Amino acid sequence: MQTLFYKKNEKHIKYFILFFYCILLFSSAFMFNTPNQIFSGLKTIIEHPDVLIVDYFEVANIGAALLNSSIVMLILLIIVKVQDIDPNGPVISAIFTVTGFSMFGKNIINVLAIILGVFIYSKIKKEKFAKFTVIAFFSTALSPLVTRVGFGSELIFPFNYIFAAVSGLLVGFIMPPLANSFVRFHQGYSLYNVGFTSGIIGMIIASLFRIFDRPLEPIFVVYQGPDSKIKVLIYFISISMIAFKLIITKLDIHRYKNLIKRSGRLVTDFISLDGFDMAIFNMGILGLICLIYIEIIGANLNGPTIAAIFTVMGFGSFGKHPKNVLPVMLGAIIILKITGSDLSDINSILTVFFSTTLAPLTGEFGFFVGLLAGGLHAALVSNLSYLHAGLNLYNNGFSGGFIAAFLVPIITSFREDKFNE
Amino acid sequence: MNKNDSIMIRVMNELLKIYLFYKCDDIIIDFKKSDKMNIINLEGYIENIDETVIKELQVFLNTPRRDDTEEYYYKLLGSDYSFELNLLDSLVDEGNVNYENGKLKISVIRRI
Repeated sequence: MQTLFYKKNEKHIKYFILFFYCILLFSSAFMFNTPNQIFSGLKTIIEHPDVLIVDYFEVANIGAALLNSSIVMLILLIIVKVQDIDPNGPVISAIFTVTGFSMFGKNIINVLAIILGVFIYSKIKKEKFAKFTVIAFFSTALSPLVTRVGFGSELIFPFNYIFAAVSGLLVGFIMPPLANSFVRFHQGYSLYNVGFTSGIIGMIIASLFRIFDRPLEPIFVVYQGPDSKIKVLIYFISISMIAFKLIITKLDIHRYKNLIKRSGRLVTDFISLDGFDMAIFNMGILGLICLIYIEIIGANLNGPTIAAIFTVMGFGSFGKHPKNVLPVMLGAIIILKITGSDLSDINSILTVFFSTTLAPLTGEFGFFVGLLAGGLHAALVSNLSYLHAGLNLYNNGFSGGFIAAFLVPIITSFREDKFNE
Repeated sequence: MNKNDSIMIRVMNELLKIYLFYKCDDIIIDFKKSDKMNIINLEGYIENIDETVIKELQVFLNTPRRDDTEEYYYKLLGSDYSFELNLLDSLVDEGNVNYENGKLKISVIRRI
């Protein structure tokens, strides 16, 4: 009976659950701060120059960061709903990634400017914007460029907003052909493809700033305060995803076993292949794995950490599952530990969580390749942020693209073809 | 070459890979193009193809086409590294698979 109801109403259920999380983030904001603090914090978020890493929990406050996040999520949901797109794996992973990053680096202004740039591109190409929606959402990786150009210099109002908007429009405009082309570089074995593309764009832009003697200074602001209340919220989100699955359909271990057999290589949409109920269950499980890891290493939750958790959860609908993420995470942890890095340091946490961009390598080639990929990723990622001066929020996607492009040709030259999976 | 032509070439590559994987050495490819749709027909003799593969192909080729992945990922189709049936299904409108007396016939339609 549950299954019949679910099948008849799957699209509505998807929207209901997505709007539920949007409202949850919005209402949670007011549990942390007063309305006055939240709205003044929101202005700070918009006008603060962002590069990796600017934690909105610290530069503004937790309430403002949550409100910003919920408004950005609402904007994305409205864009999806207006175009009558069925929210599937790519769309949901993009929504969760952007929502998460709206706690460090993305805000209402810089996100909208870039999405509008992609929209203009689609109109000039005389194509439906629906074809570009996923690219548009992920393109917001370069949001820091928008605020950096507009608010990182001495420009006064309204020129700061005009320059910010124009830079966002330009980035959005050039992203579709580049993202489409660069996906071939790593052959779909790195899930954060736009992260790689954005890294290339960011690298070129940062070089231009440097050659004209306008280097982009790094900014590092991370919240170190108490996290017990925000932890409850993130646990609730993860557990509620598992609960939603159990409410809409019965627990079916056999179907979950099918899901975790998949390699996760682009384009593996768990929602169309295994159903939304299994995908949301998987998202909840991945969220819990991240939270348990945070507990084990004794780290605090803050904007960047939550962004990473949301991204891993989002891709639980589009390529990631425990079986393919754990080996890459373990590989990254081993290298960080061997090299004496503090696992509870924010950079280490982000490296471990975002190393899961290489999950398809485990899925396709096995545990040890995943382990190797995670280790190589941990070694490479810290060398890359200088290249784009922190303009690319998906720095790990930049690194993941290189690791996949390096490993895949070597591995595939020694193995026989398999039919599908 | 426009994007649609580029997609059709990649779809054809992906389908051809299936025949070559099953050691088929004589494949007939027929491609028809009009203002409304593109049609690809392939046929060739294959020994011992698993029934589940036929069923799987039938399902993949008839899942609804999706706009959202087309623009972003279509260039992955027809790559050297693995089969991309998940992606193939999102780029074609309908398909048919028939396997009789060792002859495998696949036809796909992509509407403009």
